[in-house]
Order: sequence, then C-alpha cells, then structure tokens
Amino acid sequence: MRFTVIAFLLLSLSGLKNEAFSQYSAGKYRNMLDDGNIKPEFWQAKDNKNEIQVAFSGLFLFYKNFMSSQDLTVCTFTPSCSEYGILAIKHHGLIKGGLMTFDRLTRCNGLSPQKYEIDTKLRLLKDDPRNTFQVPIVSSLK
Amino acid sequence: MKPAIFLTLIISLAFTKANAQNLEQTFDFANSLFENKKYESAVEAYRRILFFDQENLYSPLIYKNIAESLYETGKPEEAAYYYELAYFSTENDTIKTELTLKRISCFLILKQPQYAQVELFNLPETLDSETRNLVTFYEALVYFAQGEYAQSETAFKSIATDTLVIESLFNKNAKIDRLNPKTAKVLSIIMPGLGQFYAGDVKNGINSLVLSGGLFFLGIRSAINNSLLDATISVLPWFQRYYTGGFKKAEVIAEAKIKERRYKVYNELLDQFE
Repeated sequence: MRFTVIAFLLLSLSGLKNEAFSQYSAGKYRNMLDDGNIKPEFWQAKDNKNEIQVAFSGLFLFYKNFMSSQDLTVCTFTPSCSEYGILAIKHHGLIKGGLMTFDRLTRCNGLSPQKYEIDTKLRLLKDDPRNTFQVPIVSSLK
Repeated sequence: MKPAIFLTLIISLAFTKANAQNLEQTFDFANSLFENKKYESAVEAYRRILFFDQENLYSPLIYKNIAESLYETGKPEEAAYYYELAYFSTENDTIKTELTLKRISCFLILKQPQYAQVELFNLPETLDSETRNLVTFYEALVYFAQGEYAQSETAFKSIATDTLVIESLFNKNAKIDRLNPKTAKVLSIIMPGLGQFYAGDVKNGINSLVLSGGLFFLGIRSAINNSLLDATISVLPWFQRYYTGGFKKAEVIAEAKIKERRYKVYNELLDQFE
C-alpha cells in the first residue's frame, strides 16, 4: 500500500514538471542546429549475398575507414573508384566486376571529361557500374 | 427502337438532380475531420476546396485550419505558407499574433532562424505574460542559432526556473570557442595527427599519424636502400597525398567537433524547458 502511494506521488511529480513548460514544446526544435556528424555511411557494403561479397565488402570498409578517411575527395568520378569496385563485383561477379574495376582505375584521371555526364551537385563525372545502356557506349568487337 | 431508348435516357437525365458533393458539404466535412484531429484527411479535403473554390468564398476561411493540419502532419514549409495567407485574411489582432507565433515555430523547425527573426519583429509590443514567455523562448533559440550567445543567455534566464543551470551551460558553451580549426590545421602540418588529437578525435589522430608516419618511413628506407630518385617517384606522391589530406581533414574534424559540442549544449538547454 505504502509503495503504491509513494509511486503514485512520484509519478504525479513527474507529471507536474511537464505541465510547467508544455507551452514551449521544446522537443520540436531539437534538430535546429547541425549535429556535426561527418561520419559517412557505406550502404555499398551492406546486403551481401555470398562469401565473396562479404570479403570484398570487408576490404572496401577497411580502405574507406583507414585510408580514404585520411584523404580529401580526389577521385574524379561519382561513385568513387572504391565504391565502383564493390558495386561492380556485386552486380557483375568477381571476374567481370574485377576487370571493370581495373578498367575504371586506368580511367580515373579526369583527362576526358567530355565522355561522361556531369553530376552538377557534386561536380564529379558520373560512371555507375549498375547502369545498363540500351545502346552500348563502346561498340563490342565482332 | 434504339433512338427511343437513348431519348428516354437523356430525358430522364434532366430530371435527376446532380448529386455530387458541393463545396459547402466539402467544407463541413473537412471541418469535422479537423475537429476530430484527422489531420491528414482534413488536408486532402481542404485542398479540394482550394482547388474548386474559384470565387474565393471558402478559401479565406480555411487557410488557418489547413495550415494547422499541415503543421500537425509534419509539413512545416507548406504550413508556413498557409499561415501567411491566413494572416492576411484576418483583421483580428489576437489571431494575427497567434498565427505569427505559429509561423515562427515553422521556421525554427525548418532550421531557418533568420526568417523566424523577421517574424519576431512583426509581433506587437503588448502581449500577455504567457505569450511574452513564448516569444522570449523563440528569441533565445534564434539568438543561439545565430551565435549571439550573450543575448540568448539573457533570454533563456528570463524564462527559466533555474538560472544557475542555464549559466553553467552557457559557460560550457563559451569553452567550445577555444577550439580553433586553424590551430588544428597548423598542428597537423607540424606533425600529422596532432590537430586531430587537439580536436579530440583520437581514432583519426592515430590513423593519420600511422599512415603518414608509415609512408615517411617507407620513403626514407627506399632512399637509403635504393636511391633518392626512386623514393621520390615511388613514395613521395603517396606521402604528399595523405600528409596534405591529413591537415586539411584536421580542420574539417575540428569544425565538426565544434558543431557537435554546440548541438549537445543546445539540447541540454532545451532539456530545461521540457
């Protein structure tokens, strides 16, 4: 009985406190300032379907967290070369994706911007391994 | 036979009264939804009225309610627009003040304190004590967001129950300014990672130190074992990349740390009013 009374009184106290400032509804304005979180989230490394993807996602995360994090944006493309690599391997498999990544690394120099679409927001060249084109950009050899 | 059927149908059409919902019914329906706090459905109904009300008969009556519904359903940007329309469609000063306060609230949620400040100037001089407190609270938030901490402190203190807590929080806030991004950059130029340690980011500090230090060691080793030219060609570009990246990143990290600490103090301040 005594416990119930004390609990009731304590609960009513917490209710009183809320009543006094409810007119401000301060909770709505919590995100008015920037929280300064600059830690990027790497969605490319999520949803792995097999062991190869897990292994390469691990390599990708290691590179992103310990090498790329100490660097400024230097890649001329979006998605960047490391992101391209993991996406290519996920979408085209280890062999084709791996070759595509090597090809991409040789192209990462910004010497032929006229060949790519430009992302106006990021000011980077667009080159996504997931894109499939109805008309091939480079004609296949026959 | 066929023409006769068509004729009958067309004539019977003339006698049926069109039974579509008219504007008045929609207006009542929307208002009943609004009163029952079904804001999302109310917004839809109000939008229908705004669309079909070509003579502008109902629109001035619903601006406040549609703004209110949009505000409640988490669309402050649109709500601010309708609050303004409602403001200009009423003559009542009390309602005008109420609408301006709501508009300020919208701008604060939208992270636009400069617009909120413009609206604060719009308020009348004489207000009742409860409204005055609310206005002071908004002023405190606006000043804080714009970096005018002395004015913000005065405003917070005038409405807080415990001014000592507010004072200690503002002392904590003043200490944040001691962290200087430029100093962090210079420290990292002197030694990689030092600026990150100074900003309080140990993980990135160690990371930068190990990476740049490792490459530096590799360069020296290559210069001794092979030749200076070899070291310059093979290791220097890498070292340059992570060394410059390191000190530029130190500045960015320090700026982010300042924001993070400011955000924390700001939320502790808000805790005092909840």
